[in-house]
Amino acid sequence: MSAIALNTDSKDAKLRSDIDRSLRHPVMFFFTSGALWLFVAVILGFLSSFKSHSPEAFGDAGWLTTGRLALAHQNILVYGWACQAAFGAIIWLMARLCRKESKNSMLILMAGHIWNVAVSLGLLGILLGGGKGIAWMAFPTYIWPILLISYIMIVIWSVIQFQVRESNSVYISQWYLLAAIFGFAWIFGTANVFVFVLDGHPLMKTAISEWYRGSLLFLFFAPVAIACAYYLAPKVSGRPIYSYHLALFGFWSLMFIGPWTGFQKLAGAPIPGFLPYVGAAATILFLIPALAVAVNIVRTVLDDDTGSVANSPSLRFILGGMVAMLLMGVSGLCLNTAGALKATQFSLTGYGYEILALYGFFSMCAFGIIYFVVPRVTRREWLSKRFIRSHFFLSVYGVTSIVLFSMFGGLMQGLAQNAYDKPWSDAATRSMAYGVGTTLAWAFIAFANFIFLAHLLMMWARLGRRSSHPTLLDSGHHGDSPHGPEGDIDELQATHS
Amino acid sequence: MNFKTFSLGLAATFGLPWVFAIAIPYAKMANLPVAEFTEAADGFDGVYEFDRSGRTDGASIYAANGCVVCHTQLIRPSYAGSELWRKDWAGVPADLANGIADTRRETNPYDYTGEKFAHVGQSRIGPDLSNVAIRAEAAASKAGVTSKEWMLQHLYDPREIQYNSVCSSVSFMFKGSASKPKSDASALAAYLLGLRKDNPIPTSLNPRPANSAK
Repeated sequence: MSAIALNTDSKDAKLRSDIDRSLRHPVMFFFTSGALWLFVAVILGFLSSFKSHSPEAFGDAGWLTTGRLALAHQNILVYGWACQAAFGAIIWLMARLCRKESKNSMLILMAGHIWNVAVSLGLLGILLGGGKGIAWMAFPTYIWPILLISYIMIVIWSVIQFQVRESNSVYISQWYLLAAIFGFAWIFGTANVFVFVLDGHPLMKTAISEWYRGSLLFLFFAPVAIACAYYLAPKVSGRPIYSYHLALFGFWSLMFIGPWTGFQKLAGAPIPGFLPYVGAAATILFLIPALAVAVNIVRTVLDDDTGSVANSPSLRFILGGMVAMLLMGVSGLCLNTAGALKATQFSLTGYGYEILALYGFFSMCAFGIIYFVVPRVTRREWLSKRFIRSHFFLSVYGVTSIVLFSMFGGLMQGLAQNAYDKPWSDAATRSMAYGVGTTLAWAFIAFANFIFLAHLLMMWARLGRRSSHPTLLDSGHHGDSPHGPEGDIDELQATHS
Repeated sequence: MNFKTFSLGLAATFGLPWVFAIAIPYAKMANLPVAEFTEAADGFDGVYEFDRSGRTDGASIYAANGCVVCHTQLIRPSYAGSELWRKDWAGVPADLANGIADTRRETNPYDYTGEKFAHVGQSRIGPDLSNVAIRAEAAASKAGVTSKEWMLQHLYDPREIQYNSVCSSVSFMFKGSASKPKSDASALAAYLLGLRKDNPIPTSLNPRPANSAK
């Protein structure tokens, strides 16, 4: 189905705009509050990175302790931004692919507010010294049941929509979305129950908290990002997905590999010996689904010759995300061999990998879907292609620098750590410069996301362009646009109906 | 692919690791067998118990202030890392002239007895703290103060002790000077001074041959 055919079928167009309208408030709520949290997370990242090399900066107040800032940064990035961007993407994509209007938008919106209140309380908890000190589970313990319940209230409707869907075919994106929906509940529930409720060995709790990080990346954030890619690539380019079988293979290999990851963080700890090996092997094997997905997406958009790939903001971000996904696969391969793990297990490298996954891969795909969805649900076009372009390039520069600095700095640091007959302070000295680099890179990302946030807030306030032509990244002014003659979208609609 | 195949497939791919990597190891580790000294290997019979000196209630303060972001608590075996040989990290090396046996050893699962969560940690911006008590005692006796005074001084102003340290000061846990700690600082210092994992263990727990080289 090409974009042109879709746009001329008026009944179909009406259904799509009805679906968009039914989801306008929850989707915009998740995207804008997510973008706000992203900005907070980036500022926290900047502060904690700054304090990690200049500990006396900004003063000695309790809430400005490096460790508290770092934990707040990680958790706000995950629960404030990434989860909410994923929720917005899940509910919108599922409704569109099932061709069903949302009937529970008020409930979803309410649950979204509860989620945000919980995240705010969690942030306060960490900064005021009530956190649990566990990487992605640092919120005070009472937060997680609230998060789980509001999560279920947000996504359950998407599962119901899938069960009563109008179209017979099941899209590739829908597999990934369903897997992500079940995946989050399963992983989040398991990890919190085993760590906070059951009474087990303290080391096994640590192992499960590391498994949680790996699994959340590979079974929630990765599937949602891939679902966005599988939706946008054919939609924007107007070409069918390159290979159905490759998609099937990519999906099941990810599902098979994802739930074993994370334990390699505890290599050398006295837990059952096979766990770190399995974790390292699974993280290496992520390269396989990453290749399958990336080849499929890139082949799909390369077949297109209309120039939509070069001009579409959404596709540009998706392709950026695909590159980051491949880099994740390759760096996973390099970092989890026995020799490399020995040096990098307790260095900055792990942080670099996480930022590559969360910002380079997931967030870029999320930006892609946001640039696609927001004009549709607000019925206004993005104001400025320069803003979009700056957001893209500053993000790419920022995340590339963070990943390079953390990974390479981590390697230097790890080698110095393992030189046991040299003074310990060598390791700190060697990683110092890379820490300063990371701080600078966060400043870039902060600037990128300030632009994004401002742009999104203007769209949220319905200040977008009232045009029937989307904002593309080329010079504009097409003679024969597939969207018809340019004009005020509301007036055009009025004359048609 | 219909919905039934899909759900069965997901149940299998999610369920297998849940059982084999989570539930079974968790249950096994929750009921560790009692470790014993044996006449043949250790020279005497007895039940091994890890005694931790001091209080552990500082662990939650350690966690809440994010010490775990920069400090680890794990001595890896030599196949996974080399900290076993780093000075004062894994124990005290043999000093045969003064009759001191080698106490260095890697971490075993009994070392976390009494803690709610094993704070293995994220990265080593600062040194590993498995045996920080050994280093605190040594530094304190060199400076002519008690270990507790030294530790409180370090918490109050790390750069007073090591000029280029990037450790956060927790001076907000004090009433204006290192000698006037609030209860949080005392608990944290007591917890840190209780971190010492170089007591003799049964040979069955220690794969490292006694007094090995390096």
